Amino acid sequence: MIADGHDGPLLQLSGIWRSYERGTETVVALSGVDLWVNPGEAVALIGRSGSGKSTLLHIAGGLDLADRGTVRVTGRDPAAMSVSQRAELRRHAVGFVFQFFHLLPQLTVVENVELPLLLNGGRKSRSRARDVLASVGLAEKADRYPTELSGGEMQRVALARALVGGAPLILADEPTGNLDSVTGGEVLDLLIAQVAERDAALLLVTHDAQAAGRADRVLTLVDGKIASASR
Amino acid sequence: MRDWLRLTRLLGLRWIRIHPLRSLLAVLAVAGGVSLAMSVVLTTSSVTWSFAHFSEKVAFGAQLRVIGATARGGLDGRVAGEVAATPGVSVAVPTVEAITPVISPSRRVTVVALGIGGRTWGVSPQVAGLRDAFLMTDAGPLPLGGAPVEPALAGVAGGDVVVMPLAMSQSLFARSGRLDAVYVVPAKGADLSSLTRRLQKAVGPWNAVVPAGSLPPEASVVTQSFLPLLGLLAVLAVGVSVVLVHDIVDLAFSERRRSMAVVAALGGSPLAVALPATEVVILGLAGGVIGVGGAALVARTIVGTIDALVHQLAGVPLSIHLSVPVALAAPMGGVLVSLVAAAGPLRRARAIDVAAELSGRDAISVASDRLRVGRAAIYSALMAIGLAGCWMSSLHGSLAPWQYPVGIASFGLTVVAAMLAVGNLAPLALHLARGVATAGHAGAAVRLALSNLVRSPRRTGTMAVAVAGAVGVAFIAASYSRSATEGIVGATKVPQARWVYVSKGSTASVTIDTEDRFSPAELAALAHVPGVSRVVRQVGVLTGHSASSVIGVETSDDLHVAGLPLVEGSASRALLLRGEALVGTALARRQHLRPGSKVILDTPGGLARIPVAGIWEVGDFNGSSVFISEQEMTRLYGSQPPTNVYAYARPGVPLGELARRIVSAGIAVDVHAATPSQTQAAWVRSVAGQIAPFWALQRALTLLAFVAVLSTFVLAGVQRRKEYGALSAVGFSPRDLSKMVITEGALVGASGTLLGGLLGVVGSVGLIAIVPLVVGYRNPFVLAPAYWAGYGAVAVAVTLAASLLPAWRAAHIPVLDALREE
Ligand SMILES: Nc1ncnc2c1ncn2[C@@H]1O[C@H](COP(=O)(O)OP(=O)(O)OP(=O)(O)O)[C@@H](O)[C@H]1O
Ligand SMILES: [Mg+2]
Repeated sequence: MIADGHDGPLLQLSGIWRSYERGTETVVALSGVDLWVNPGEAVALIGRSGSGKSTLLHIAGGLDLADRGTVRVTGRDPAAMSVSQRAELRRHAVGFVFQFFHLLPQLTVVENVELPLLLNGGRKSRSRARDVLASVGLAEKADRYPTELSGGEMQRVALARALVGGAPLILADEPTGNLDSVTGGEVLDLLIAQVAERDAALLLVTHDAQAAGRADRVLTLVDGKIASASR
Repeated sequence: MRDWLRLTRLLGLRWIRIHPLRSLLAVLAVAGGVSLAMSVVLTTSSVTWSFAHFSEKVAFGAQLRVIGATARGGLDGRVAGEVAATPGVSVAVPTVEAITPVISPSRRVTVVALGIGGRTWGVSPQVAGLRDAFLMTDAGPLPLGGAPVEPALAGVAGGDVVVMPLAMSQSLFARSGRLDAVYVVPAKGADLSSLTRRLQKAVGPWNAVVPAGSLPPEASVVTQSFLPLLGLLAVLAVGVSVVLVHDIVDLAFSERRRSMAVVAALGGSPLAVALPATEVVILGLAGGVIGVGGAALVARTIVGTIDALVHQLAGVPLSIHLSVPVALAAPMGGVLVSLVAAAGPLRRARAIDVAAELSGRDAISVASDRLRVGRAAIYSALMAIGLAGCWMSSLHGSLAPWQYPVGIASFGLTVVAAMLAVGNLAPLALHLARGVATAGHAGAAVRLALSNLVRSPRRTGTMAVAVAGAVGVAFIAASYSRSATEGIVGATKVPQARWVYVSKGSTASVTIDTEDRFSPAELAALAHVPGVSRVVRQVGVLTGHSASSVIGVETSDDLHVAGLPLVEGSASRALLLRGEALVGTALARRQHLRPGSKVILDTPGGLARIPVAGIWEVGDFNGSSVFISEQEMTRLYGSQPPTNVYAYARPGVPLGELARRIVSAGIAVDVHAATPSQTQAAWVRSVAGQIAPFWALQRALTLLAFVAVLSTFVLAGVQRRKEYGALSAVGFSPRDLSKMVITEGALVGASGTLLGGLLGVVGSVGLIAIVPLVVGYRNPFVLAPAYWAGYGAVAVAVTLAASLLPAWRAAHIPVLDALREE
């Protein structure tokens, strides 16, 4: 199943530039990135710290806009959209796993996972959230607050939140960065299985070569450009 | 729909539930600010209401009132007949409304003595309750024992009322053939506005037809000497509170900013993104509601101090009146300020800054120091412009019409700009201090405290503004008070003075007095007291029909006008005897009068045009005064009892001795005699009365500073938990942590005090410059730095106290838990 009856890549970026003004100097984070991810495909993005991986993910998810270049998410162009339309795109088409989780501390684990469904106005949101939590192995922790979890558990909550809405494009920023290799492997297997199951697309940022090895393709970002691609 | 309710609960209300202390403190801070701003509004509206309500009660159901050229006996008795004969009038009730004391051995109360056509004599139950009481009149004391009690009077003028037949009141209060007012009950179906026009035509332009319940013009003399000062105070209070409430709400918001960013990142609709803001709006609303109560408390103190004077002078009891618009304005103000504070984060959360917000990058903080220097410079420049405006408004006796609005607006600008400058200067000052501390090898706790304050300039600025507000207002109040006191001392010239001030009832000489004035016979007796060389009378008559047109017409036996501060033209006895007048600056400004032009006065016989000889800065009637010779006074207003009486001493007679002789001579009941130094002391006390609202405000501000510092530290402490955890982890002891927080408190107190000095100097300079616009005379320019130091010490103590709880919390942080928090 492909969202919105669109075929072709679920995510397509071409010639993406993005720079930041910091005081008087300009930091170029991305300088001409080309990239696509097809349905059912898992693509890993590796690169040194500061090479622009998070920036790229933010642009891919319509959280940030490129200075130059074109972005297509399920065939649609976030840059041409209004703020609310972009929010709607994120709500329906994109599931984010942030590098720093970004769980809401005032909500319980299950409430955090449920949040995207509530924003979507979905039915039976509570039970669906519990189901997804169970699938990441956190059924018993559902009613705790995020501060009461371990780093790896928080990571899995973030994962559950990204998956719960059934978005066709999953963008994950170092989802295994805080986990030991065994748990990390399990989480990654889970993610890739879920993506394959619903023919979704996964763009995965990671530092871990082993993790990257599980992806269908690996791209390396060097100084804001894709330096090499390998299968 | 159900989803929205749940979303609202999760995103909008959960925080309050799990962080009640933080929410409470934010509410209290908002409430404090709202109370402060609203208290002044409430005071003003209460005073106005009390007067209006008083008049309504006296009106006995009439709809219109005809009033004369002057406040007392200003209406020719024949007018009553003309009014009654006007078509559309059902009943015309002629009255005399004298304000005079009732004296009993136990108490002295000011009552309204109403003379009403066709009424018999009677007293209210309250007055009847006073044993062996006398009603003081221009014809001497009248025993009230055995007067019939009228229960219906209990609700009129707070029960301080006596009624009597019209003729009796006319003879008791020196109004032969004269009336104070004619109340009009219109005939059924009569059109009020056309009736008003017909009546106005019938009674002539020197008389006026006004709504029965409208404020009596003489009341405006009292209110006008308070309300403008209160208005200036309002500018100050509203300025401080808006800045504070906005910053506190903004701080409360910073906790929600991330929630908003996360919801935005997950694709929440704009409405969903705004949900965390509802909490802040709730805080604003709650703060506003509590603020109404706080405002009532502060206003009660202020109104109490005014009542002490007004009740005695005008017989009008003042009470707090909370009108619906005022009660609604406070919560709405709270909500409005929250919404304004919410706008920034909302925009950021909706725009493409979501990514930046999530990665904790604050676009503003990068350039913030340079920005702050720029802002401080801009606000300081505005402050200087404001001061220049204050100064310009005080030039040449402030006779030009533009000078009044420019003066008031400039003062507002000065104070608000000074406050905003303080908010920006505080972090900069601490930045400098940090440099010094680093160079001077200060301990880690002190350095970290400085860094914390420098790093969150907004927060630091907020607390500094709160402290500076309290210290600055103390400084301003003290400076104004010293300035006014020195003005009085300069005017009284105690060492050279050879007079004794003689009065009935009280020693304070204020522009309007109660009715028990000296009769010609009593004055003659005074002149015969051994040691009295001569008696000098001053007479004042109030004319005008509305608050904005009141003029005090004055004269005295010795037309001793040389040496008084003349602004334009000339002043001499000869000119006055030729029938010319000296006018006060406020009147000259209002009516565009200059030497050579003519001032128009309402008199019972019609309009009189008096040539102006000069314009002077004497504060009588707040500068709306006309000084003429006694002959002119008698010609225009008939023979009038004196308002002030001075007995001059023969050479060699000590003044204290003369005062004793006058009191024991028994020339009348309840005679007081005050030496110049006693008179001066009484005047100084009345200044203290005027400044009392400033001190009430100052106390409120001190309390607000405490709440602001406490809530800011608690909120900031929560945000810094992780940091405290990290500091503990690297070896900071709980003592170091609490020392750090307490040092921050002390530094906030110190920088607030320092900048409060700036605010105080600037505010005092501006206030002293524009006060002549409000009160009609000029005071010497003096500052009261001792008060600054004293209240600075209080402020530091207050901020230290406010940092104790946050310090304790910092020291008792569970390190591991803190470190795990996101
Ligand atoms: N909002 C911003 N303002 C200024 N500079 C930024 C901003 N966001 C990113 N940068 C800069 O852009 C560059 C790329 O940042 P990005 O976060 O994309 O790196 P990354 O590859 O994700 O690094 P890491 O592996 O450490 O997470 C960095 O030099 C960073 O400092
Ligand atoms: Mg990154």
